[in-house]
Amino acid sequence: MAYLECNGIAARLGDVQAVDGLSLSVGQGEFLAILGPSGCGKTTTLNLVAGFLRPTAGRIVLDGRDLTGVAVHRRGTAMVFQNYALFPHMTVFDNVLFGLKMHHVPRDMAGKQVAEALELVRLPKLGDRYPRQLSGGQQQRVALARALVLQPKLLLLDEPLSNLDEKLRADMRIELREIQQQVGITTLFVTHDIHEAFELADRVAVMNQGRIEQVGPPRDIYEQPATEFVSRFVGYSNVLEGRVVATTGRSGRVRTSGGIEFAIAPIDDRAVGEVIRVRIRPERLILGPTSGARENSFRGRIERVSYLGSLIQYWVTAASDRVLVSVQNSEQAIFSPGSEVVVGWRSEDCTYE
Amino acid sequence: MLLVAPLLALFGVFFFWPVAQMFLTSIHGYSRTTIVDYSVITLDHYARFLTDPFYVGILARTIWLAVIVTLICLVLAYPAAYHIARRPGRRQGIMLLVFLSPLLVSIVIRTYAWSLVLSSNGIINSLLAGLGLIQEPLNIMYTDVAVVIGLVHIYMAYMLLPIFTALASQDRALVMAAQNLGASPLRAFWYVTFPLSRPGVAAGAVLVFILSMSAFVTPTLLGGVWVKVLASMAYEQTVSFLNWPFGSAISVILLALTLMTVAVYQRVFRQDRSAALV
Repeated sequence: MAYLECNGIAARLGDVQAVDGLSLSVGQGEFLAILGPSGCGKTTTLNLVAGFLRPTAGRIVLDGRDLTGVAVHRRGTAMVFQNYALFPHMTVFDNVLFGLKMHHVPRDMAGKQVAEALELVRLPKLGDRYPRQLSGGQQQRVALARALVLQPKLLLLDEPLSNLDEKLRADMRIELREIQQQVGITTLFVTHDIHEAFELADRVAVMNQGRIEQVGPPRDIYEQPATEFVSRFVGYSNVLEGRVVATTGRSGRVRTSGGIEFAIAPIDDRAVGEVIRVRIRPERLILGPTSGARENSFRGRIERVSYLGSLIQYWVTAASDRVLVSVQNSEQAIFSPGSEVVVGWRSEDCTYE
Repeated sequence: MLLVAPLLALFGVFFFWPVAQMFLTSIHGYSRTTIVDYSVITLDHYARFLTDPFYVGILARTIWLAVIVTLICLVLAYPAAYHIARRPGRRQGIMLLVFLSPLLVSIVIRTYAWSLVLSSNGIINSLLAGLGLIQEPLNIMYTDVAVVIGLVHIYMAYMLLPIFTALASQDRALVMAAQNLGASPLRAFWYVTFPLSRPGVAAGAVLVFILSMSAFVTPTLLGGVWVKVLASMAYEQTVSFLNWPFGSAISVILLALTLMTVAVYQRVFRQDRSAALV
């Protein structure tokens, strides 16, 4: 059995079924990110694990112990809140000491552990300050130290980086990952930021409407999305809708209503005549004046060009189909709107549901 | 400056000037014919007050009543404020209105209503007698108890509001964090919720204390001639005995007590703020 096991948990918030039969396992020492749009139930899930909410159904087991009915303060989980929730009337030192005091750790031992925890988050000299005298990044570290000092069984992070500015956020991501690896603590991390989830987590669980849509390493999530929701949430996806016109072995051919015909592989579970929605990432499409070395291609016209600096995005239309092509800015000339181009891609870059 | 000028002028004419006048009166002599004898400057009135056990006793009773009223208000208001602060917004309004409703009734009407309830043939005594719990009516009217009940009833609101404000503005995540770090709900309250609500408690306590100490109508109507406090004493000296200098001296002493209370509060609260507030 996994270290943390959520089994069919459900919770309502008012009239909303916030979490709807969610199951999830996290291995010991693993860093798992729950990724989803706002309102998908990810924070509710975290609150269920922490015990702030009681599930209406299902079970949560942590390290072999059933947490159903266990009070918040006896769960052995430690949470870093989105707004950090540092105690404003206590110094940094007392904030970090708080949990140890609640667990009746002798004062001199506790003092040493607090110092170590502050060392770990690189704030050794700020123990006497009050939270309001710290910057956002420093407050974030204090919150982390306050949680880690207890050596909890499970670290819960609720969008801990969302209140920091962009540059600091990038730095803290790296640091957070380093600290997590150093301590080796099992971590459940909730975020709506794809890059945050991908950079930090061993595995990502994409959540939608109270359920997990897919769990896997970032690369699987991006390149082999199980559902159209996952595909769209973690990046843009072109969708070509058509019918299967032929199958041979594990590959097949699809034709859109606009007349584009292309190969797709593998395609195991679809018969000829079935409607299929095929997804292709914009950066997996290549663009050229003539067909490149790609097995699939269609001729189209550039409708719109967006210059984004390191990336150039083209909207290409052909009859009733329209795709977004994302190209790295290089020495190659930029196509202008109205140009006739050929869009090409490999059959294995197609995914479908 | 232009914006505060009108109010400042109003205060100057109708508050600071009369207070100065009162102070001047209190240090002049008393004469049966001219009431204030401006040819004599003296501290006799203060000396008379502070050396006579009768007056010192009234001073002590005034402070004592204010302390009791403040404590009862605190004990009753805190749990209520805590409860209301944790309700959803719409219900908070209704519940606050219930507790603040005494303020909507004129003080005289409210106090007479209490005298009907508390008198020897009032509601309480009839009820207890009807239930056979008492033979003789309880003596509540014209005692300290009646005064305390009357004062608690009105000044509860002044305790409730600041505490409610302090509790309602608290980030709920703080208590969640405390529990998450291993504090039982009771300890989370003791180490986090309560310390953070202290400014509200202090503000409420000071308000209720000052208001109770200087209350006049309630002690007069519910305490009658038996429960004398500084305010009713100052009134009596000034209006009944026409001893304005002595009445003024009593008023100055009352004012001094009030200012001292505020000064202590300011001192404690500023320390509190430097250490605690967000």
